Amino acid sequence: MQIDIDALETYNTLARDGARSAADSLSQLTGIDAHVEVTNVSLMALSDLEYEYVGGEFCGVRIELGGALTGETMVTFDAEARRVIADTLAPGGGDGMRRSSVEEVGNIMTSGFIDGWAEHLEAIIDISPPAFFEGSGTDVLTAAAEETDEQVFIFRSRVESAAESIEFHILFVPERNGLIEALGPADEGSVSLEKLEVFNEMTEEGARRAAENITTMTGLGAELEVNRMNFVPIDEVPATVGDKRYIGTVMQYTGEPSGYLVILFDQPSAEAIVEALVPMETDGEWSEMEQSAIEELGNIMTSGFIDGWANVLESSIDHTPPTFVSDMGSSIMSPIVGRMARTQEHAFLLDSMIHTDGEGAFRCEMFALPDEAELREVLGNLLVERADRTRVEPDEVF
Amino acid sequence: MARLVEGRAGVTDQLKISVADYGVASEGLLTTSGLGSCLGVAVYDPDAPVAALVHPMLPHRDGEGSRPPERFVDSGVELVVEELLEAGGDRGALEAKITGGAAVVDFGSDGESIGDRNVVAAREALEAHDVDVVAEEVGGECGRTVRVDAKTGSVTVKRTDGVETRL
Repeated sequence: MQIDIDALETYNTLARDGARSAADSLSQLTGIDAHVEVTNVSLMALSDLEYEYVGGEFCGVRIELGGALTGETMVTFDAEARRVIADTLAPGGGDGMRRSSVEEVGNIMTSGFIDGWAEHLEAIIDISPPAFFEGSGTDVLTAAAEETDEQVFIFRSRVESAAESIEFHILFVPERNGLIEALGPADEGSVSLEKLEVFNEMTEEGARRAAENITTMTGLGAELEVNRMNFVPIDEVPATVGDKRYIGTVMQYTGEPSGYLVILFDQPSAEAIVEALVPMETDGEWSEMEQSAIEELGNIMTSGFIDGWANVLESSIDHTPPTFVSDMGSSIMSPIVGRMARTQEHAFLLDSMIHTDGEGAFRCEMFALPDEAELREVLGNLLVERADRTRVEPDEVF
Repeated sequence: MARLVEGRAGVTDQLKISVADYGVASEGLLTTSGLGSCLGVAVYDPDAPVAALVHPMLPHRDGEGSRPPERFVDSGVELVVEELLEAGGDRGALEAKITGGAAVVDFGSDGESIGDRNVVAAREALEAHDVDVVAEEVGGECGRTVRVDAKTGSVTVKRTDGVETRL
């Protein structure tokens, strides 16, 4: 099955416009400055959505779509966003009134989101009445995320309010075959969906190897939590990573495909790693020895990750020594994206999250950014010359 | 692009500018974050008052008309100057402040950093439009967050090493 990447770009633009229209509705209703930080489409296992809703209370509005586009759209607010919206629209109101105000905002936002799609498809999208939901953690996903490993496309927008320090998400989960049909007939710019899936699985396997290498090096049990392939407008890559402070490493890899690999740890995680690798008193600054410890871990993780690709792609991929970085995630990404934006408008951003358990537990995010044209070519060649291998389970290859 | 002009105040008094985006405002705050090698260029006319903030990523558009002008320093500056004039700014009164252009990632022996080239491109582009650069907080190795007071053109730069500067 072929998927037209250009059409996927168009859909991502529709999702972004829809999210902006939803954010504008929120601003007009509440006076809250709502800004769409990022919209991307990910190819991921539906069950991996769960990690975003671990812990915390959520509520939102969900609509089912039918007709020209089947699937579901939901707006989810965390407890703080819910409080701010209810305080603004129903100050001093009772529980019922507060709930209605949030429900009303959710209804207006979801319909704002979906309006542009029907127009683009020049077809009718049937929309179910909006349904309000609330619950703890992953409970809110029961209707959306059944336990399944099937990879689906998920359009996701993150909307933030700088003044109110709140953020919330708009998700659109189209039914898989319906989306492919709606995307239209494949042309020469298309890639094989199966191949994209295999590449995603290869990346997952590479990330798993990177996690194993963490265990070898630190003695901490490490597990891969989430793996997804995001398709992001190049300008939005920094916002996808976000403004949180990170410590980590940046590597450049050369070969087919070439690109960048960025491994980021939040502050407590980086401290836990240094503690595990170079247990000594430190003064809060990142000393040379601590920086080398992070770099060495980056190096060994990268090797595991890149080898995975090279094996299946039967190409030779080398990487530069890791460079230590410590800054906002978005600032770290900006020079990398600047280099890539010279030649491409969209990025395949492969995003894997690894966590360790027990004492000194830490989390780590890996972002791989292969050159888009080279990745397409590699995938294309794989389809033509190594069609038999595309059906090989990654487990058999690694 | 985002706009914060008369009528929208009261709805929201802050506009966040993304990478490769710009905003124009006559009041409130224009903000942008995650400035690594990118620039935050504030251009304003304090008498009008009206201000613009653009967050470009690369120095030169090089005539590639299909690419968004806001992504590049030269075309981004041109764009905001035009927008400011349209919003009531006076060409002779425009002033600019340049922020960002850091080398957050050390790419080794790879020539001049994108950040440095962005800063040079901004000075050139602003000079070409007869806009005086009255202040800069550029270079170094730290990411930055920037806030522009649209009424006064006052710029606050917060670096990730904790240093805060008012321009």
